[in-house]
Formats: sequence, structure tokens, C-alpha cells
Amino acid sequence: MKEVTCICGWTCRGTEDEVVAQVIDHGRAAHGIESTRDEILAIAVEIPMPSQPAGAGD
Amino acid sequence: MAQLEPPVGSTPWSPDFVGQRLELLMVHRAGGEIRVLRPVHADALRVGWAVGRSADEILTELLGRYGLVPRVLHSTSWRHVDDEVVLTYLVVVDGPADPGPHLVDEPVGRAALARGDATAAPASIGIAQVLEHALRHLSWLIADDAAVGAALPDWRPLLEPYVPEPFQAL
Repeated sequence: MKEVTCICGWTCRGTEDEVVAQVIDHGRAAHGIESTRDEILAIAVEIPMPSQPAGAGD
Repeated sequence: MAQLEPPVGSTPWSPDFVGQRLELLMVHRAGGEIRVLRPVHADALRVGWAVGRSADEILTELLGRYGLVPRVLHSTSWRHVDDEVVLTYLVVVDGPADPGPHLVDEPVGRAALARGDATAAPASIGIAQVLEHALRHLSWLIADDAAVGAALPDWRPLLEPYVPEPFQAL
């Protein structure tokens, strides 16, 4: 899981692909800028995944 | 022979612990009015709290991103938001000549505090209520804490309408 918080306060969380897509959309819509996947992953924060509850996924 | 009582907690340390997040409410004085600096795309700034760093250090650094310097920075309340505990800090800054492209400068309105029942937190808490409590807490600090009082002599008249309140869970 990754997280990005923009200087404007907007924030997003999700998988790597989800965060990249959301940040690209936000950059275009809110700030008129284009971001690359590498640029986004360089500023994204890693969030630990909660472990599965006992029995889940069986 | 007495036996050791079982532990009151049995949850091992793990990422499944409730996480925490720092929330920063930024206020300044413009004439006889208290105003809030809000990020343009959120109701408040919220950032993670890394191990090994103090909240003061993180938030002062964050303020620097907006060209702001704290006059007073103080924790005011905490509350649950989704799966996290949010620790709110109020910061008083000198009003910027220009809030810049990432902040909105707005007047602060009054709000009724969020109240729960005797054993439970309020069902919902709006950011205006968090800010209302933060200013009530600042009203308490300015009278009770010599350092805060000395840092904000010009804020006493502004805070007179706010009933002083201690730090609390919302």
C-alpha cells in the first residue's frame, strides 16, 4: 500500500498502480501538471498492510 | 501462593495497531478577527508521524513548506477518524501577505462542540468543531501557560469569547 499527500491537502491511498493513477489525475485536474510514475513513486509513502484476520482467506 | 494476574492486554505489536496521524490547524490574526489557513483541497493538513521524530519537528517543517513560522504550536485534542487516531495541533502564525496557491485564508466561525454521551465519543465530529475546541483550548493556555501568554499578548481580546477548555478527546 502506498500513500501520497499533496501540498494542497489532497491525499490518496491504494496499491502502487492505484496511487499512480490517482496522482496523475489529481496533478492534471487540480494543478495542471504532468507526473511520471517514477516521480510519483519517489514521493509515495509505504503503508504497512494490515495482516489478515484469523481464518480469512481460507 | 499468589499467582500472577493475566495481562490486561494481549495484542502483540504489529501493523494492526491503531495508527496515528498528525492534524494541523493554522490560524492567524487579521485586525480583530481570527482566520484559518486551510489547504485548498482538504479541510485540514494531515500527515503521518514517523518513529523517532517529534510532532513539533514534523509540523514546524510542514509549516515551512508554506513559508509559515509558528508563534505557538500546541496539541489540542485527539479523536478517532476511520482506523486512525488523529492528534490535532493548533498553530498560530503571523498572517501571510499572500497565502499562496495551496492555502485558502478564511474567517473562523463559531461552532457548537461535538458532544458524546458519558461513555462514548460523539458519533460525528466536524472540522469546525475541532477548530472551535482548539481555540477554546488556546483561550485556556493563554491564561494558564506563561510561555503561550507571552507569545500571544495580542490574542487575549480575540480569545475572550471562547470558553477556556483543557486538552481533551473529542
